[in-house]
Amino acid sequence: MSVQANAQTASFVNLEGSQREAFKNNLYSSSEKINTLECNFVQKQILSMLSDEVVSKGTMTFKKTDRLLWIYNSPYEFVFLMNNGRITTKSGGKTSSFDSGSSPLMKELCKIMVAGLKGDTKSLETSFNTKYLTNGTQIKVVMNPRNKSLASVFKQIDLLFDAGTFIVSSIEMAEPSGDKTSISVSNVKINGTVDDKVFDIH
Amino acid sequence: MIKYLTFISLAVILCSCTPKMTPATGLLNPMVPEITVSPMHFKATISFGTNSVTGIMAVKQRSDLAILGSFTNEFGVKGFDFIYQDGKTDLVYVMPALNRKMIKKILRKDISLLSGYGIGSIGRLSNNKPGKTPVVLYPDPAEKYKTEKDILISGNSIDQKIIVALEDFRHKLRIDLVSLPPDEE
Repeated sequence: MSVQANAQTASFVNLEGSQREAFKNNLYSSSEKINTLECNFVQKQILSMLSDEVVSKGTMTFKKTDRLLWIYNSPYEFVFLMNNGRITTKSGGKTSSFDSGSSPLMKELCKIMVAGLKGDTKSLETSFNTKYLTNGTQIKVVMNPRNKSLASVFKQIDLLFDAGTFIVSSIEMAEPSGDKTSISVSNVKINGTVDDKVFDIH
Repeated sequence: MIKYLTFISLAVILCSCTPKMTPATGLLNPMVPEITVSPMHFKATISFGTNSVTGIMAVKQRSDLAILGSFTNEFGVKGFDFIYQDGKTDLVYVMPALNRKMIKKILRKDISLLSGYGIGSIGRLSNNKPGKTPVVLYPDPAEKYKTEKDILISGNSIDQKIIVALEDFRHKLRIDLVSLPPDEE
């Protein structure tokens, strides 16, 4: 709670030159050490046209190299799994599976989430122009899409990390329509034991 | 090339066959108390043939009686925004993957009927005794000469949930809305 309050009051300054490279390298070396990551999340969608907010909650589990399990518990149960290039979703008892290549948007979203959770922002630099900012306690990575296809879906993506631990605290996605989705993560557990069976979704 | 031309032909046929909507005069701008104070959220399932996509549909009514709606997937990526007013739907935003003339034409027509007859009947469904067989909301028997063919809208209330479904048999499109409990404060 205090971390978020600081983020709102302290102003961020742009990092440049050697400072920027040092932050990037620290983030990257920290991300390289992450084999598993588990966390809770609260997602808030701001619907600009309706002046409305939709809140969703759930858990995320990541296991190296590219397995990501995203479980929404509220407002209804929805499971999303990215596993070895395949995407599986489960909703209302129905499971469907498809190759991630057939849904470039979902593939990119998974890449953003994994990179965001781990702190591997370097892997996103081919798709996004990135700026690194800090307010002393946090690092904000501001990303703007490089290509038209991504820019038609995302106007900007902000990743917020703790400057001391390099652990992600929020991911905020702004859309061209004016809507925003922010995902705040909590109870982050790094390199705990994650059984492969967790990723068996049928 | 043949596949591409077949798709174009199909698109032209579907568009040219889409009949003009003639909504019931009394339902052009229904007053829906449930969505005038604050938006109502639904779990939405949009099925097209054997494919389906789920997400959240938020709807509210403005003071001028226009019904506003937003459909996003679970991750917050917007599918479309619409405004239903005077019996017509304006798609304010459509995600690039859906931004096709044929898709938009079908969506506009079906959302108009869904808003006017389905969402516009939320209050009526709330008062319905739970567990009863779904109520046919469209076609309205009183207006059988004005109604669209091949479209059925039904509603029900089960376990404090409002359920509204639109079936567009012509285009094999189905929209299911199941109301969600209000967000926790």
